[in-house]
Amino acid sequence: MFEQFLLGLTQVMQPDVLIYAFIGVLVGQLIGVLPGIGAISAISLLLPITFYLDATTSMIMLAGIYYGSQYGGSIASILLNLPGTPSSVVTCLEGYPLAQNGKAGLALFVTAMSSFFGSMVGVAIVVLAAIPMAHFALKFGAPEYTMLVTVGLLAASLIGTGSQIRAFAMVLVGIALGLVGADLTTGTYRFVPVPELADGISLVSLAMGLFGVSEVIRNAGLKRPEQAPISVSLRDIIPTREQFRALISPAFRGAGIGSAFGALPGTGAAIASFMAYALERKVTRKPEEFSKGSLAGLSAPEAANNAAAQTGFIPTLTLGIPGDAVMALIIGALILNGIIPGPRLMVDEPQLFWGVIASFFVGNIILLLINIPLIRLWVLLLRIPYQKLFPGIVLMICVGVYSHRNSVTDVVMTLLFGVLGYFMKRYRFEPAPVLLGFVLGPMLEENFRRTMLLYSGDFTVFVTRPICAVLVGLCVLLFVWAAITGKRTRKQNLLKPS
Amino acid sequence: MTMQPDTVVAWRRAASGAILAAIGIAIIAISWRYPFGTVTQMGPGFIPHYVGLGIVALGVVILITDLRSDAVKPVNPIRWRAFVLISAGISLFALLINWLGLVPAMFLSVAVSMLADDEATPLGILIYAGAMTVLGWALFIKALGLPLTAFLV
Amino acid sequence: MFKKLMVALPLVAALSGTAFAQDSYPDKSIRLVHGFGPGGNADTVSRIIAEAMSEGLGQPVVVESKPGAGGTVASDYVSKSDPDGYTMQLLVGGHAVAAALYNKLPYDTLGDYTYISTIGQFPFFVATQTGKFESIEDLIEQAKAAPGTLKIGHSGVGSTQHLTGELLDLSTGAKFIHIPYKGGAAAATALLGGEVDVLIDTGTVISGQAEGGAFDILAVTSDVRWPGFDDVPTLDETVAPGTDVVSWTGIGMPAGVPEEIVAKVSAEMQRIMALPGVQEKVETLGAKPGASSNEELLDMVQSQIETWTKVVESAGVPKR
Repeated sequence: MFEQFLLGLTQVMQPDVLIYAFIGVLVGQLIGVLPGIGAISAISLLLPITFYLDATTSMIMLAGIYYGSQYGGSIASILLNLPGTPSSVVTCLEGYPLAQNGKAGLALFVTAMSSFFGSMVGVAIVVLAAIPMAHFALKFGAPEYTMLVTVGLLAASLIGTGSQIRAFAMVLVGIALGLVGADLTTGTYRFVPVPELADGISLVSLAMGLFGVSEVIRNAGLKRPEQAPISVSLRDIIPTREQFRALISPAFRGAGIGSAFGALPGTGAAIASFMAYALERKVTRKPEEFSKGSLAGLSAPEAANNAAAQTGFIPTLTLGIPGDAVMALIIGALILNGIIPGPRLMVDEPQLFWGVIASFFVGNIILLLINIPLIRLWVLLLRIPYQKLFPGIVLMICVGVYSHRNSVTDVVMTLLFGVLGYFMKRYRFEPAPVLLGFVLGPMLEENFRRTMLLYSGDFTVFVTRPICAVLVGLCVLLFVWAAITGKRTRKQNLLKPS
Repeated sequence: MTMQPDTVVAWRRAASGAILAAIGIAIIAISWRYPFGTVTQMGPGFIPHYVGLGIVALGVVILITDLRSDAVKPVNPIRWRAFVLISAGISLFALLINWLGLVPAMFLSVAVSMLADDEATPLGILIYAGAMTVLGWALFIKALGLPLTAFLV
Repeated sequence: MFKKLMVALPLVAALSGTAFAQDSYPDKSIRLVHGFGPGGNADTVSRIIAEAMSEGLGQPVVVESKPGAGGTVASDYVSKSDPDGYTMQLLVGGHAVAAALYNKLPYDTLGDYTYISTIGQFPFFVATQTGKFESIEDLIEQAKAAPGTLKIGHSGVGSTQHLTGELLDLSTGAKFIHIPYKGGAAAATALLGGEVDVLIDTGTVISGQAEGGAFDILAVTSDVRWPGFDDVPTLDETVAPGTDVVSWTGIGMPAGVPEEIVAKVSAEMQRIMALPGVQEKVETLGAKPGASSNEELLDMVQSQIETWTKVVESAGVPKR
């Protein structure tokens, strides 16, 4: 394995390949900053170039865009509360409060380091265990996905700051929003008032509405934006030794969760970052920091989604099966280069396979090297008073949402979700569980109904299949844990003088 | 406990749970139209029914707990100016993008949402919105090559 | 400066209402709309065509993705666009399927379109896990022996893949369970993992797995054996005589485009479909490249609407 990895490395270290890796990572990061436009636009933009490149170099560039944009997405989330993907929603939860407390530089630095760390763990997993992971992922059928998603949803209701009942209600609202569109199993249109919504509500419009628009409505025109003075001195950007030490275990936990979930085709990265965040909330010794800017709560999900972004290539590279739309685009580029991706890719095109994997390693180092100096530049953006900044944010939201599906309906929906998010906050409801319900709800319905169809309504499959049984056990554990910790906090509240 | 609960505050406390329950009922009502199916062959109405029921149930629980709790968090008054103008800005973008094109849509949505800031002067708005529009045009159309048309008419 | 521009706007609007001379077509960029997400096969084909066409016509051809409702959102949009030749659509086999599947479409599939030319045609393949079945006859025999146990995975309710599976039921008398997935990749994963027994999908989804030794290809849905798959029998010659399912991609414009423009674009399609570079790229996407006349494409759409309407009705696929 390691020799082949070195072989791939020598391939990447050629100057022209390095240049394309650099271009990919840079363009990916810069476009990733524009939420809603993201990786797909960046790849479409550079796709014509790949007609003139060999397959390996194209893959290296396109892959660079993919994980470059992952990091770029975090920047908009931290600075402006504008998430474009489910994982960047999690970044908003702690990153934006940090930025509002004048710690945007620190937040970006921690994000860069955690992303880098997560990616490196992910790459190591891909090098060491791509084949076994791929075969393990194939063991996940409809019943396993059903239980996996259930675990994710249970973890989500533990996310909220306030009561778990309110959080769970919001998960259900998210699931309800996810019902909009054509029913996958029968094709019936449900809750579809206009044909543009036949494929469902766009995730980008929901995320940008609940987070971005509601925040703009809350703050637009405020003379004194609730912001501490912004410092760009290196001392304030780099974490202190204690801060650094406190981040080691969260980053490890996040990277572990991300690596495990990433290899599952589909929404691995999203589940991973929500789970990593929920876990940090539960194990932390400083629960009071959460939702107010916890570095651990920022670091773990960042490590998770970047580890997942790397292991997400496992099904694409080893089985020839794209995990999501971006992977499909990358596979399309391969096909145009005359390479049919499939299980033989690794054997027939070892220089491609190992070159791409080695490029993850090199590309992430490039990404880190570009990022650190750019942090000060990004932070300067916040020196612009909010009074001048918010119309630009409105513009970014509008164009980002519209260009995602070229749909006016999506822009209108974004506004409606913005208003919804605004009132939700007034009534102490958190938006994050809505997003998770929205992402996981359709997966839950799809896989639950498929399970019933495949096993003729037999519920025992959920305990007779080994992986399922483990996941059921995890659900029970989560319940017990929630009950115990819930009781403890209630007791503490009772003891506290009011 | 407050001995004489302010009715307005009581209403506000009851609102969120009640709205949730109402949403749940609406979901159940709409999904009544979709076939329910059986457990093996679930119809499109199966899951929405239960989701709706769940929302109603949690809405009622939240309603009760909210009415019982006496800790009323003071809420800032809604700033209608920002609310209305930001909404108008985004709506304008939606209205204009397919009618006049990206450039007028950007200009007007930025200009209108800027009005939310009561310190903005007409000239300032014009300059700022113009600058944002040129920037947006350069970024989205020239640099990124997004399939958007600058002027449609 | 900006004020002046705003004043000038209504003037531009008034001008553009008058028709420009048609022999100058095209004098501005052309939009090539398709109804699927970026990155799918339709998007890739659109980009191949757009690149070649912009060279021939001397104006940029911009690919625009308008996904939604199986491509019908894009069709609604294109069929209602100005028939000035500056909006065209990349059509796929689903265009005809939609006419059979939807109760009421917001457009008339035949009457609201000017059909230009095909780009390529492709069949579907019936695949199973390697070694599970000896042949297509064996599969159908086992399916008949135990009705309602073998499962076919397909890429979504109402997709051509799904309807082809229903057609297999109808024409052989076997009774499969049809399991929908979100797209071909997910269905292929399900066959790899053994969750379903059969997969019906295009060459791009199946051939890589077949070459890698994971899948056996048992049959092809076209009425003649497909080039490059010479040892794969057709359904027609084995278990389901009369089967001829071939999907396609092609170019259409809204009804009412001036004849000179139709002629110019048709000639351009003939030209680019003869280019080896374009042919090669369309081939790697699993299709047999080839242009057609306007009438040939119209006839094909018409006959496919008839076929699928029958299948939808006899198989009891719920209409939308």
